[in-house]
Amino acid sequence: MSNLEKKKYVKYELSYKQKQKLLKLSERSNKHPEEILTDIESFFEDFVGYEDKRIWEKILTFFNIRLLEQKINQRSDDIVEIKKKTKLQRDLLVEYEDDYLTIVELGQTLETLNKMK
Amino acid sequence: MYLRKKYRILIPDTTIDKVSDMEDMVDQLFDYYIYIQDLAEADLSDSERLNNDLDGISAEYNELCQDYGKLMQEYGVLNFHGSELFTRNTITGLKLGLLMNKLERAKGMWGDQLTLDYDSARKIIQHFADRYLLKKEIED
Repeated sequence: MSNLEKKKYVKYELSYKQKQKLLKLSERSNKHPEEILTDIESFFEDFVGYEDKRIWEKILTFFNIRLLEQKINQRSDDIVEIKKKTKLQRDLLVEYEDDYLTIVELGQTLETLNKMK
Repeated sequence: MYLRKKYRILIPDTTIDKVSDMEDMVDQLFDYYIYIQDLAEADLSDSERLNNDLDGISAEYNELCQDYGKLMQEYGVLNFHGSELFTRNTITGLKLGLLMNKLERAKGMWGDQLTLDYDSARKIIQHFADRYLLKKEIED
């Protein structure tokens, strides 16, 4: 009980931009805004437990690593996708060229035949 | 509706002493919200190792972006070339009616005397019309 009494809290009110972020996040993650805020409050509860003075800096580095890992996965998928599209486009180029040569050849044959009589 | 509502969070007052810019910290927590749960298993003991990891992964990401840029460029060139050929074939396709007439005339004049496969020739013309004039998707 004495610990609870000692712990004091500051009420932090979200700015307009932060509210926008919260609502977008809520939409994307399909979570109620209050649920997200509870998660953030839990983060702060854990955060005060760290003795390390540079902990926030370390946490941000960790978040950046996670973000880049996600971006790498996304970019790798993009690369697979663009390779597929490139292969398809190469195949189409060959087909377009073949179609053209075939129709020109047919045209020339018919032209010759029509001239013969 | 939700934007008009006031949203507050309770932050332990000792946090304020540890962090110089609380607004920025809350901003970042929204930006990185999906990774907060990963902190439970994170090893945050060694700054140097974390920074090295970040450098390594940044280099890997940059390399991938460069590869992707080159592939996009290659695709762009092929796509441009493909559009040119498609347009050329579409213009050629405008004469297909004339070609069909020639085919019918040839058949009328020569009939079975020729080894020309009239049905195949019609299919060639139809395929060309479907693809370049009617822009139908061609399946193999």
